[in-house]
Order: sequence, then C-alpha cells, then structure tokens
Amino acid sequence: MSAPSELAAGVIHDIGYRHYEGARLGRWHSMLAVYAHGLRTVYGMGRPARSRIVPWALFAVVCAPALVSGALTAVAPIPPIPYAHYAYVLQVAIIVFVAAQAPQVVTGDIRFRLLSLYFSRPLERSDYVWAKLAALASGVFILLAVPMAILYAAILLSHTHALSDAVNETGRFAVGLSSAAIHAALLAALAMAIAALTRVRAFAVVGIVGVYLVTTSVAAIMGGVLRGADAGVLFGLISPFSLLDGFQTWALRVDPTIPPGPGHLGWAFGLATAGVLVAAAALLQLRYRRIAS
Amino acid sequence: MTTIEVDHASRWYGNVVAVNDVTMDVGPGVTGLLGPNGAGKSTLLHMMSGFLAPSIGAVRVGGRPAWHDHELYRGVGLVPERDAVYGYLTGRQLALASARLHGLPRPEDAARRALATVDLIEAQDRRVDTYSKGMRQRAKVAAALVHEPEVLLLDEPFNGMDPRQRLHMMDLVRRMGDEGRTVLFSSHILEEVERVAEHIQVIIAGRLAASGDFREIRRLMTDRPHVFTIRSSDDRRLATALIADASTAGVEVGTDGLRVRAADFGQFTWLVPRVARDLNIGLREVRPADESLESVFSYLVAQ
Amino acid sequence: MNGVIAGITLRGMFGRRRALLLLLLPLTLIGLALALRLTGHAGEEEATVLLQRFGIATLMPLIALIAASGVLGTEIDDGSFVFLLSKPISRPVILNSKLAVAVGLNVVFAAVPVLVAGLIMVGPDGGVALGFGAGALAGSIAYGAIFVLINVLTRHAVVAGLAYALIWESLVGGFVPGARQLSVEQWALSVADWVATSPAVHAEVAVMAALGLLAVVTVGATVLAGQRLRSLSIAGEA
Repeated sequence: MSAPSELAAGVIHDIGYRHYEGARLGRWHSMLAVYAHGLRTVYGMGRPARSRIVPWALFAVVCAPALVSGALTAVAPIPPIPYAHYAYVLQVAIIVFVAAQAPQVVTGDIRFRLLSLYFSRPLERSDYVWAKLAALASGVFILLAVPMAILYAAILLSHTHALSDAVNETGRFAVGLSSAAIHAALLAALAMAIAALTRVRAFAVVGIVGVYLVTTSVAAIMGGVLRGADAGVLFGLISPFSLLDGFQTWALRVDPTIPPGPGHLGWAFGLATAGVLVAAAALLQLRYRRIAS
Repeated sequence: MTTIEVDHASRWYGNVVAVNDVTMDVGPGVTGLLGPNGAGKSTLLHMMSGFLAPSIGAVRVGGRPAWHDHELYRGVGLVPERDAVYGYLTGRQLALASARLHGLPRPEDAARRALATVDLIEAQDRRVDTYSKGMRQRAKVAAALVHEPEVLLLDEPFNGMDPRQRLHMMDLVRRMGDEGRTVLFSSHILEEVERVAEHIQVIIAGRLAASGDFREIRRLMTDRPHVFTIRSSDDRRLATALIADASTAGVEVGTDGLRVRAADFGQFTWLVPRVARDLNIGLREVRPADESLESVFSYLVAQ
Repeated sequence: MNGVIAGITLRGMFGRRRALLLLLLPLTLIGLALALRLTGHAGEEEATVLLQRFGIATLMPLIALIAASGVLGTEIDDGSFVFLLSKPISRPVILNSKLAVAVGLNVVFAAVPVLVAGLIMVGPDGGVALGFGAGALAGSIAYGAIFVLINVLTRHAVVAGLAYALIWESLVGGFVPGARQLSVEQWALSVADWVATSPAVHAEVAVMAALGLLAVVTVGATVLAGQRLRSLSIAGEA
C-alpha cells in the first residue's frame, strides 16, 4: 500500500497495472469490429430480446410474400414475383425496417457521447462512417437477398427441367442480387444521413419515414398528373424506390415494376442514383467530422 | 400541521420488492429520508406524493390517501429528482404559472414571494434553460412553494450541486422546517442529512432500519463494537496488551495486521496510543474498518 | 380545459426545430398546388389526387404525429411533465388542455393548408377544396386524439404512431379491403366525398358510418387517455 511518510511528494501506486507493448491489430481490424457490431445491431443481436422484435418481425413480413409466391408458383402456373421488383412491391415494410434500425446503428453513439471513445482509438472518423454504412447496407442487403433466395429455390425446385433452365434462372437471380445490393446501398446511405442529424432516436425514425412519405407521395401525384410527359417521369427521381426502379431498368436491363419506366431518360436515373449516393456519403463524412464528441 | 402517515406500506414490481412493510409518521419539521441508492427512498417519496400506489398498506397525507387525489397538491409541494423543467419559460413565468395552476387569488404576489424566498429575483427574467443547475433546482422549489404548502417533498435535492449551492439549499430547507411545515427530503449522504434534518428515517433494502431523532441513532451506533485494523512494529505484543483491557471485545492476529473489535469506543481510542507508547511499539496504521455507511447500516439491519 | 396549461404548451411548441418541420410540410403541399396550377394541370381530378395522397394520407398523419409528440411526448419522456401533474387539477382536464393544443396545431398546419391548396388548384368549384378541407379537419381531430393517447400509453409513441400510420393505414389499408372500413384516412375521405359535389372524389366508407366512427374514436381515445393519465408514474409509464 502507500508509503505514509511521502505525503509531500507525489506517489504513483503500483496496483499491478501492466503496460502492453506487444503487437496491436490495426485500423482495419477496428473497422471490421465496428462493422460487425453494426450489423449485429441491425438485427438486434447482442442486446436484450426486446430489440429483436422489430427487425425480426419486419424481416418476417418482408419474407412472407416470397414464401407465398414461391409456394404458389410451385403448385400452380402463377408467375412468381420477379426478383428485381421485390423491393418496390414491399417498399413500405422495407422503409419501416430501415427507419427503425438505422437510428439504432447510428443515433445511440451520438446521444450517449460515445464518439470520443471511438475516435481515441486508431479509427479515423471516415473509417467509422464507412464501417457503419457498410453494416447498415449489409443488413438491408440480407433483408432483400433472403426473400430472393427463397424465390430462387422455389423456382429451381419446381420449374427447372434442364441445366440450361437452371443456368438462366441463376443468371436472373444474380441480377436480382445486384438489384438488392444497389437498393441496400442507397437506402442505407439516405437513412444514415438523416439519422446522424439528430440525437433523439424518435426524431431520426420520423425523419426517415417522413422523407420517404413526402417524396413518394409527391412523386406519385406528380407522376400521375403529368403522365406520359418527361416531367412526370423525372418526378420519379425524388422518391427513393422509384429512383432505384428506374435505375435498375436502365442499368440492369430489367423490366420496370411500374411500366413504362424511364425510357430514354434512364441516364438521368443513373446520374441521380450516383448523385444521391455520393451526396449522402459526403454529408455523413462532413457530419462526423464536425461532431465534437 | 399535517402529518404524512405510512401504514404498513409495501410496493413491489413483479418479484422485486422496492418498499417492504414500512410504517412511519412524518410530522412538522425537517425529516431526512436516508438510505443507500436503490433502497426504496424514491419509491417511498413517489407514494407519498401520489404518483404511485402502495401494493398493500396505505399512505396518507393529512389523513387522506395520497393516491388518485389531485386535490392533495393543494397542500403538498413536490420537487422531483429529475432535472428537466420547462426550460423555455423564465423563472418568473414558471413560478407564475405554478401560482395560476394552483388557483391562487393573487398569483403575481405569490410568485414574487416564492422567488424572493429562493433568492431568484435577479435572474427571474432569464429563461430557465440558461440557469445553472443550482438555480434550476431553486426555480423548481419556488414553483413548489407558491401555494405555501403544509408539506414539502424533495427528492435528492442536493444531487449534483456544488458546495455553495448546497449550503444555500440546506439553509432554505431548514427555514421551511422552522416555519412549521412538514419537510421531507431524501438523500444517501449522511453528512447532508446530519446537517439539515431533525428527524431521520433510515431505509435499507426497502425496510425501515431506524427512525427517530438523529442523536438517538448516533448513540445507538456507538454502542456497537467498532472494528479497527492496526499495523504496528510488534502486533502480537500489542494484541496482548489490548485484550487485557475491558474496552477491547476481541482481537484477531493476521498476517497483515490486527483486527480489533472495540466495545467502548471512547475508552479504546484513549487506550491504543497509550499502550503503544508504554510498550515502545511503533504504530504504522490505525484504520477503522467499518466506517462505511453500508456496514454501519448492516449492523442496524442485523438487529 | 385549462388556459394556463394550453398557454404553456403552445409556448413550448415554438422556437425549436420542430416548428420548422410543422411549417415545411404544409408549405410543400401549397408549393405543389401552385406548381400544378401554374403548369396548367389543375383540374378536379388532379386536385383530388394531390389532396388525397399528399394532404390526407401524408400531411395529416405526419403533422398529428409531430404535434402530439411535441405537446405531450417530450415532456413525459424527460420528466418535466411532473410540473403539471403535481397541481390540484384533475388529469382529464390536463389532458384535454393538451389535446386542444394538439388538435389546434393539426387544424392550422394540416387542415387549413389542405383547404388552401384545394382553392389554389380549382377554386371553390365542385366543392373539392371545401370537401377535403372538411375531411382533413375531421381527420385532424381524430388523429389528434389517437396520437395523444398513444403518447400517454407508451414512451415509444413516435415509432408506435408511425407504425400505425404506415403499416395500418397504408400497407394493410392498401391490400386488405375490409381494413379500409377502420381507417381514419378513409373516414376523412368519406367526409370529403360527402361535402364535395365533384364526381372525382369517391370514398369507400359510407359517410354516416364514417362520421359515427370518427366521433366514437375521438371521444373514446380522449376519455381513455384522461383516465390512463391518472396513473402516470414519475418514470413516465402509465
């Protein structure tokens, strides 16, 4: 214990603390750890059971139509939901999932002032942003890929009679996965950019859903009113799901979910998609650079 | 002259018993509700202020049950623990709103009086969210005092205050008690309670461990054996000398010193240095081993 | 109804970022109406689409959600609500005062803009503007009561309210025909249909049923909220 006669001078007590001089895992491992933790947060893992209810319930809601469609297509000549249309059809459930989980991934660190803990490690602010973004995007990708996989399995089991059928179907499935990937990236970027703006989780949720609601209704209304005109098509750019639908019609050569699709204006959708991704990522980087703690 | 009666009240949440068969009467003057964190002080206060119903038993203020009775607040002022308050109002507006909500005939006068009591007149026209924590607390006290309540309940009023603010608040609380009001405040710090309260109610793990006049309890505690650890240049000889005296109840010789149980605190503290000097033993460390609130109270609970 | 409570509540709504949102959303609606009018797409059909899809299905629930959370939810969450609860005023009265402010906000920031947008687009013709204004008014009152009740019942009121507005009103109401009978937005539409003479406005629920259900839901939610408020603890759970 302490030496009582040295009260005047300062004393450093040896309580057995050892300084670590060995090898340390670097930035990459920090990023990976943040990513893994983020992905687990999206699905409520590593937390009390209560935080698993919302993501898993919504996951079930999003998978259910795939199960039904797959079963129907196996027993009856009812065409299944096309892979690339799945996200558009289930957009409400998907956006609720994203709106509920993006704040879980991001807003908690801001509210409880944990950022200074993160940034006092060899983790750059930009690393943190990319890791969290990747985690959220991966979570949404899983949400979309699993139903597509269910449909793929159902079709493989029931409708393929030759190897060429299977190969074709696999090709279509791969295109579907690409669709899922781009959906995941854009939705995650948008949601995270909105969620990082506020410290209160509830406002982040409302913000994401509000933006979705407002942009989607405006796009639908104006698209309907200006039907046939280029302006009507362009209004589809402001709503995330119609933007993505137009983008994949142009980039992945799939059928549009709501005909007639962007037509000759497909390039605008490509540009807009890229623009939104870049803008959201930039906004996030800027936001986290400016947060004090 | 209003009394708060707690009559065999218990409150549980599922399997957790927060308040366990507590019976107490709180009368005029300042009473301190003392206990470690998680002991049930807040639960008890919430029951007294009508925000929680006892699972069994009764909690009455002025003879009437506190639960589901909004008229209770005509005679009760509550200063809650949580810091949040309507920050967008000024201090004056807060007190004035409180006065109006109480239906007072002359709300401006009442508000001004209350603000003067807590010494917030200079800052009264600034928004409450620009106040320091101590000032915010005083604003809440002012709002709780506008209607000159017979009963004043304060939940951890000294939390997070710096020494000067704390002194000011203690002074205020004592004044309220001197005016004949029934003032009850909760705390987990012995010194705070010691300085302000005339009566104490000690709550541990939901049970009432001790109550009554503060000095009585103090005396009770000194009747218990005190435990000391002593390290010296010659433990065993010291032990022999100590056990020879009646003030020592027991001695344990260990590898890192002596553990001595003293029956008579006063006699023992006189004894140790004298014995050490007479026997030429150097004392390296004399430390009371059970001075923590917890161990003191554990004696009380063990009764 | 206590004027002091209403005054405090109203004062607390402004001077925050929330006020901006309250303003931004109706301005978007009016901006759209202006844009459509100026580009010559302002017929009764277009007006109906705008006012129904944006006015009633989007603006009304969002404004009601923001208003209810601002009027009651935040205070319960951070504990400042105890100030009002520890006064000799019965809980139902406290609740009604807060509800009045919430409904007032809904009317000003949702119902009135709907009326204005309608007038911008088609003027008083066909009763479209007046109809949707009336529908939005009825819906604002009902939503006010419902969302305030949700704020009393749970601390996760915002998410719960959103889940209701999105999942029940949009998803289920869109796919399950029977559910439309129990949708506040559909009842608002029925009121609009009843007031408007234009054939463009068409509702699925009979107007008498809609009015009855609106009244029942509003009164029921208000009474229930008042009663549950009596048991609200300091921690914020009823």
